[in-house]
This record gives sequence, structure tokens and C-alpha cells, in this order.
Amino acid sequence: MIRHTHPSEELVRGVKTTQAERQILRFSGIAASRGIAIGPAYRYHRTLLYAEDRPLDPQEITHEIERFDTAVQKARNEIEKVRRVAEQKVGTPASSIFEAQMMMVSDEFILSTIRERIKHELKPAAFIVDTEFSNHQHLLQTADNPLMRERVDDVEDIKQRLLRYLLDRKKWLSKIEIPSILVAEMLTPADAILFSRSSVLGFSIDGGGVTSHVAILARSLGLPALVALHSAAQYVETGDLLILDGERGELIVNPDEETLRGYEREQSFVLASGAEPEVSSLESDFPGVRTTDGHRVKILMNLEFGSEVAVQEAEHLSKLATKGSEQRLGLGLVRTEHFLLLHDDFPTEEEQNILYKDLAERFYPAPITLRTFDVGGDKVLSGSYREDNPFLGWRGIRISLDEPDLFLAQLRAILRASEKRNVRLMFPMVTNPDELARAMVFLEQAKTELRAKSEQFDEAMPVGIMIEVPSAALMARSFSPLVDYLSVGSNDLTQYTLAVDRGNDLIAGLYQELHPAVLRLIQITIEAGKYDNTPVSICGELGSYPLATPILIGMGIQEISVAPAQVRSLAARIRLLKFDECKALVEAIMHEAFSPDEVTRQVLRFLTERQLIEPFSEASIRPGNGPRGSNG
Amino acid sequence: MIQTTVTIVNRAGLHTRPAAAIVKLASKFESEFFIIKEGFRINGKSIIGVMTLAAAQGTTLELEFTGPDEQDASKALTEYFAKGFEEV
Repeated sequence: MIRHTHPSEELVRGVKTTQAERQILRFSGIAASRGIAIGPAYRYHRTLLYAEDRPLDPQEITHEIERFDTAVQKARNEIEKVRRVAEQKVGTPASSIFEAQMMMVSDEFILSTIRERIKHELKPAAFIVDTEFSNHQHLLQTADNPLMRERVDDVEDIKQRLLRYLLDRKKWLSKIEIPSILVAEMLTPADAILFSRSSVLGFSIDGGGVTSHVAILARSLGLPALVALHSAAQYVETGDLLILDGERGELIVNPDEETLRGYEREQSFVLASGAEPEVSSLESDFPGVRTTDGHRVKILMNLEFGSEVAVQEAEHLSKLATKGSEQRLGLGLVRTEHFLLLHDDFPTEEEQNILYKDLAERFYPAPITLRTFDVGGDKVLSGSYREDNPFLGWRGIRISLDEPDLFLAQLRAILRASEKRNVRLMFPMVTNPDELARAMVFLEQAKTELRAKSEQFDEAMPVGIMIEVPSAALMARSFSPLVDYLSVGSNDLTQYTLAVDRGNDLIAGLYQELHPAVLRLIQITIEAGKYDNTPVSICGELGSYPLATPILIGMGIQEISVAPAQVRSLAARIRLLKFDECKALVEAIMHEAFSPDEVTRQVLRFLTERQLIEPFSEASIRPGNGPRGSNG
Repeated sequence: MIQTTVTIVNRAGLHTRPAAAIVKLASKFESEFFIIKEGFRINGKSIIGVMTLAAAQGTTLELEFTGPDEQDASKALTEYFAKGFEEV
């Protein structure tokens, strides 16, 4: 969804007189709720209260306990008020967060402990409340499960409410005058709900996580939100113009005119389809979406493995999109290495099998594409060994081939999950056919081992490779007869082709996914696939970049795999395009465009002529227009 | 006193919603109810206590009931854990 206030002249002028002198700043975070918001910042400072440790006169005990009981009652009233607003705004499932908070503030066990401690320790109520709740927060904070760690803020909210009364502080202000993007170090679920009564355009939070209650509420409210921005808030002042990009996980402070236009223009392509299609309207032809002239393109989803919330989101969409149909939306890329973020060590065959099997069952009968571990050597090597160029080093399939035990365990785990014949295997970072041949020998060995144990698996499990290194793209004709599918990893392909590390701020502007060289490599790959009837898909960010859609369609890509949040807008865009016209566009670009800017200009002209976007001024093409994202 | 052993079976673990449901269920009984995880013992009628257990899927917990209706309480709560908090 796009939430967009046009930054009118007035607003921009009212923003800040020093606007022109303010520097553009970009921060990467995690997109917790999708959408894009453009508007002024409202900087929310929620100073956390702490209580002083001082002795209490024994005569004050009764009074102090009374004050504590009053504070509890007031906090209860407040939370009840928030709960009612939430029920109205987001409905019951999401508002139950506040029911749980109500139980926390009514937790007799904690309350009586606090009363006892005031009596025995002779300390003020505020100090006891602070230490008692902080102890529990500390326990939550050290939990292994991120879902639990993110509940710390819920407890903080209660603690702060009580402290506010006990320390006689004023009520928090949760109202803003003009439509704004809320920027804060931390935000409690109650804050999010109370602010949503005024015109909040989105949330930008330094802390938190995708599964924090604030993130869940933002999604329920349909407002874009970024979390885990680390220290972005301190650089933002109320009134700064912001672009909050909940599609790519980026916060841009004081964007220049060109960046701003770029955003408005890119978004207008999505907006051109009118409102986003309701999921139910996708049923008819999902997972294949057709262009206006009937050319079918299959949509798949990329999955960040290891987050139950992400899996549930994808699963939900997969079911919704295809209600009443045999077909379901599958997974075009499952990054199994995300496992390693949860474990310190490589997981065992059993541990892996449980997760792969679970995924295969949940998405059945749709395919799930499991890519073997794509990690750098730092995950395997002892800490003392450092590679000079890890991106050009021991990684991906290179590690797998050198560590047979690790590789075979993963292959067996994947094979054993393939019983229902909806699992596809994919190898990353392949640079020459010899590596593929060796990987296939390991796969055969894994199969032989399983047969010996009479384990069930799909004998014909499809095998594919990532095309993410220029050598693999150039040699695509040698690979395509050997595999069941090819999948273009546009992020790495761009980095390796242009010799640009997009994480390096000094040169990030040179990371241009629409560079003609990158497009040529993708075209070579797609053509190789056509020659052998090997399907070609794309699973990088280029797949969700609006301006790339007509190019990919025109080249004849068969599958586009994007983040679940991007599925609907991608489907909407494909439906606006005509295959034959896209083919002509690609031909023109390949003959005439010699720079990324020229490619951009041609696509924009193409879209404008078809009234798919608003007219633009050619002078406003922003240099280095690639999608800048943080998630690989 | 009755003691039982349970395992967390739902994917999301013992998060806020089941913690609240456990406390509500336990509060219907007069008996005292404690949950023990790795030697860490918390009052099962305290939502904050139950939450701070941060018990993930696969965790084994001991439940301890003491009081006049300990039979009924242990049956109800042990079953609720076994059902994966109705999330399986």
C-alpha cells in the first residue's frame, strides 16, 4: 500500500528554513510493515524515567503503598482506554496485546511482591517498581527466542506508566498536528495506537524487530514501519522531510529534489493500477499472472528463513491468493543459511529436515526452492583466519564442495523433505560446469545413502543453479542442459559485474541494476533457457523494482520471485503491460541504451507513452537510480 | 502435591497469548501452581513470571500443583500444554 502525502509547496516551505543546507542522510533498517510514506518528521522523545534509590521513613510506608495502589489503578484505566481505541482501530486479535498488558499490570504476584519490598526494604515505591520490573525485563532480554526479547517493550510500557504517576510527571503527548512520520528511539504498542488517532503516516523506530508488537500493530493499521534503524532518530528533527521506504527498508532524511521525484515517479507506476488489487481478484490466474495480451508470468515468493512470522505471512498469502484453486503460490528462494543466524553452529541433518519438511508441507502442492547454504567463510573458519576479499573468497558452493559432511547432511535433509515432490534444490555461487558436476555427484551419493536406508524421497527432485556471477551468465548455454531451471540472482550479479560492493557507501551510487551490462547478462541467461526449454527465473531485488518489470517481461522471464510484501504490486504491474510492446522495448534498449540513465529514460518514456505513469521531466532522472536496499 | 512434566509443542513457544491463557486458567483453581524451568521456579499465576520463562518450542517444563483442587488443576493445565496452547 502506498501512503503518500504530496509534499506541497507550503509544507516544504514550512518544514524548515535551513532545508537547503541540511544534508541528505540514508539509514538502513528492517521493513516491518510495507508501504512508502513521504512527509515531515515528528520526532517523538520519550524520555525513559528512572527512580532514585533513597531511604524511606517507616511512617511513610502506608502512604507510599497507597500511592502505589493508586498508580496501578490509574495505569489500568489508561490501558483499558488504549485497548478500546485499539479494538476500534485494528480489531480484536491485534488489540488482545493490551488485554495481556492489562493482566500484567494486574499481576497480583508482582504487585504484592512490590508492596512487601516497600515495607521491608524501606525504599520508595518508584524505586521498587523500577527494580522489580527491570529484573523481569532483564530475564526477557536474555531469552534465546527473539519473539520473547521483543516483549521487553511491553513490560517497559507498564513500568513507565507506574513511574510516571509515582514521580508526578506529566502525561505523555501522543498527538500531532500535521500528517507526519513518527520517528522515535523506541515506541510502545500503546504509543502506536494512540498516535494512530492523529494523522500518522508511518513509524520509524531505532529499536524493535519485525515481530515486536509495535510492528504487528503497524501492519494491522496499514501504516508503513521501519524498525532496527539503530541510531537514526538522533539525526532527525521535527519538520525534516522524510522518505520512509517500507519496501526496501530505508529511511531517507532531507532527500534532494531528484530523489524525491524518483520516489514519486516509481510509485506513480504502482499507483497507475488504481488501488492495489484485492487478493481475491488474483485467484483467477495465480500463480501465473497474465499481461494484457495473455502472456503468462509465474510469481513466486522469497523467504527469509528462520522467522516464523515471515513464514506465516508467506503461507497466508499463498493460501489467500489461490482460494479454491489447486494451484498455490510457491517459494522461489528459501535462504537456508538464515538458519545459521539462529544457531551458532551448522544445524544437524535432523534439525534441518524438520524445518524443510515443515515448509514443504505448509506450501504443498506449491514448489519450495531450497538453496543450499550460501555463506562466507567466516561462518566456517576459525576466527583467526581472515580472507582479504571474502566476496571473492571461500563461499557458497565452494564451501559445500570442500566440506562433504556438511554438504551431504544438508542434501539428505533436503531430499528427505521431497517425498511429496514439491521441493526444488538450488546451488549458489556456481562459476563453472565442473562445480555443478561435482555437486551432482554428492547429490547422487546422498540419494544412494537414503536408498540404502529405504528412506522415501523424490528421485526426480528438480535441481537448478543461481546465475549470480558473470561467468555463469556468459556460460548459461553450458549450464542449461544440465539443470532443470536457472535462477538469476540479480543482487550479486550486479555487484560482481560492476565490481561494486553496494554496502560501501562511498560507491553505492555505482550499484546500478539497470546497467546495460547487467541486463545483457540476464538476457543471455534467458535466451540460453529458451534454447533448451529450461525455465529461467529471477529472485533478486530487480524482480520487485517497478522500472525493471517491463524489461524482464520483454526478455521473456518465466518466473519472478519477490518478497511476499511485493507480490500484489508486481502482479498489478504485470497486468498493465503488453508482452509484445515489452519485447520491442527490450530490443530498443539493447540497441540504443549505453548507460543506466539511458535505460531508465527509455523505460520511463515507454511507461509515460502508455499513460502508466505521470509525465516527468527528463532532466530529473536521478543518477544511479537502482533500487537501494539493504536485504540481500 | 502433584508434579507433571510437559513440553512446549507449538512453534511460537510460550509467548504472550498462551502466557495470558495459562494464568487465566490457573486462576480458576484454588491450588498453588508453579512452573519450573531448568531449576528456575516461577508462580504460574503471574503473567509476567510465565512470560519471563521465555520457553521456546521443545522446552521441557515441570508443573507443580498444591492445594485442595490440585487434581483438577493439574489435569486442566497439563492438557492445555499438551494441546500446544491450541496453536498446533
